[in-house]
Amino acid sequence: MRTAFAVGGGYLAASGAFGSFCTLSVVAGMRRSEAVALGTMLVFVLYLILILWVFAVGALWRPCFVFMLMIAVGYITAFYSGSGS
Amino acid sequence: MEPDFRRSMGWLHTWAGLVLGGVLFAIFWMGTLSVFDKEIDLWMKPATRMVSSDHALSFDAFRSSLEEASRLKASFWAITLPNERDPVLHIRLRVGARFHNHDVNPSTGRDLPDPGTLGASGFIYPFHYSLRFRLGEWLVGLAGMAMLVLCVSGIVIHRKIFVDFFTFRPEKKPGRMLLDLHNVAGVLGLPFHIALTFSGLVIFGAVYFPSGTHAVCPHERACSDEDIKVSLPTPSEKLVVPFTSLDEIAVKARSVWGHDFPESIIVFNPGTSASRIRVLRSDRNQVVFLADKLVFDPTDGHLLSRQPPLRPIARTERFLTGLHLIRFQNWPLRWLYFASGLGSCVMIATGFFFWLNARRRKQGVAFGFRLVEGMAAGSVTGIVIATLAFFVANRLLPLGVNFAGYDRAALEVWAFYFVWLATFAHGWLRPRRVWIEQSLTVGGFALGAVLLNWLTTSDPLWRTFLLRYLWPVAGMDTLLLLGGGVAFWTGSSLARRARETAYD
Repeated sequence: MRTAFAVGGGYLAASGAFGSFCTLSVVAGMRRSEAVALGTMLVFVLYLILILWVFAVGALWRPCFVFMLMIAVGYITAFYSGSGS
Repeated sequence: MEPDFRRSMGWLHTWAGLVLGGVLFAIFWMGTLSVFDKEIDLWMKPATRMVSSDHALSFDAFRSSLEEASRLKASFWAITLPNERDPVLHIRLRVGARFHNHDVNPSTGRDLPDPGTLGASGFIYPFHYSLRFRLGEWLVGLAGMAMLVLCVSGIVIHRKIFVDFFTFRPEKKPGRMLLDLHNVAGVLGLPFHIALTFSGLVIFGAVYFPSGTHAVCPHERACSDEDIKVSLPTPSEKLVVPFTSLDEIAVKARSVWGHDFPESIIVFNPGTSASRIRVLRSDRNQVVFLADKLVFDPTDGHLLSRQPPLRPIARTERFLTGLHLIRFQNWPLRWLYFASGLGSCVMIATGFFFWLNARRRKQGVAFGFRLVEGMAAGSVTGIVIATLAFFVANRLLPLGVNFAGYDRAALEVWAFYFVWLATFAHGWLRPRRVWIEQSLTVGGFALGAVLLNWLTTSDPLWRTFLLRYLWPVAGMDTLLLLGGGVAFWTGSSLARRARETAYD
């Protein structure tokens, strides 16, 4: 249960954060290839931290809330950049 | 859940290691062998054991092959020159949906006979990153993340890292010795474990996390065209255009790059007006995986475009890629990779052994324990035996053999999987004894592979040691003998200990 949440939820959250990171960096003036390259290197570190956090924390509601927030932000930025371009 | 942080990390370390340790061992074992993939290829394809020619090769000598390709309306024709590790010249072309591969003897220009094997670069290396099944790279990715988790949790549950550098007590009880070995291999190799796992994940970053690319490039094609302005039109007109000299293009490429020589030349849509020539630079002189490309026009040979220099972040990513792929040429470093890879294998294996050893007395007959013991045997000694069976099958099967519709290359792979499955079954059927018997089997197979190489190729160790171009074969035979010796010694000392405890 906790493992599935760490692996699956952590993946979705990291993926969402990666998407919004790339969108925001490009909006901030970074080149697209550079934003994706930097994000690719950071996203694995983020995913690792999220997994460890789920296993280390006592109550699951906090990571659960943060993950949902990250996924939501990922969708929102994707929606806005998609309609903007 | 465990109450404090260290305890929860300990729980995570045990279970993540237990569940994914087998996959991790397979990945690290195959990756370690892939460090010397070209050398293993030379062992497995005796027809390619040849002196590499010293004189500069002419690309134009293979013009007839290129003209043949344009007659066949190939979509590309590629030539890769031999190098220090690979004495063979490769010509690849694609006609319709089919790929054709020719291994060519560079000094005679003639095609070599079909090797009848996938070799290390066709089996062991793909196994390393995809486990050779569909979506296998996702399991590899999961195992890679588990490896990072194991590294971090391993550090956390460990109080005294620096003491462990110097702690190895073989004279203590076996449990203590296994844990010492696990810690020494883990701590000494920690930079290697983390760097290689992380860079391996980053190489497949776009596969595992497509969200970043999707976020900024709605149409993937448009994204790659941002930096490299090369577009390859489809062959619409069948106009035959004359080729400029490929050698002249190679010289031009060299003058653009300074000293580096082209590694391969690819002609897209040969013989049509849409044809383009791409020249790839060799990456042997730097760690960064550049894969620098130049594009030329085939009619008059002028430079159409070159890859812009990499920006800092992209360069960092390519450095990580290069760090993992070891395209650079440096023998001491290559051996260091190999040794560190073996160190990682030792760490994973001793992790399993420690788990088993700590529980054998209390729950040695429990179903769960026996399940883990069989799994550990199959994934540690089992995959080693299966790899050796792959080598033995390579020397035993006659060329051109065909059995039940499978050709020789496929039969070798079947030998690998069949033996691998058998080692799991063996582990479940014969608990405890399995380690002795499989160690001895490793020794026997390793010795057998060396003997078979001698008998079937007339390249015995004392000959391969004397001839420089056969050193890769000599190296592989030597390692097989050394590894076989270690396996025999392990098997016999385990057997001795089993007898002693039985008499107690």
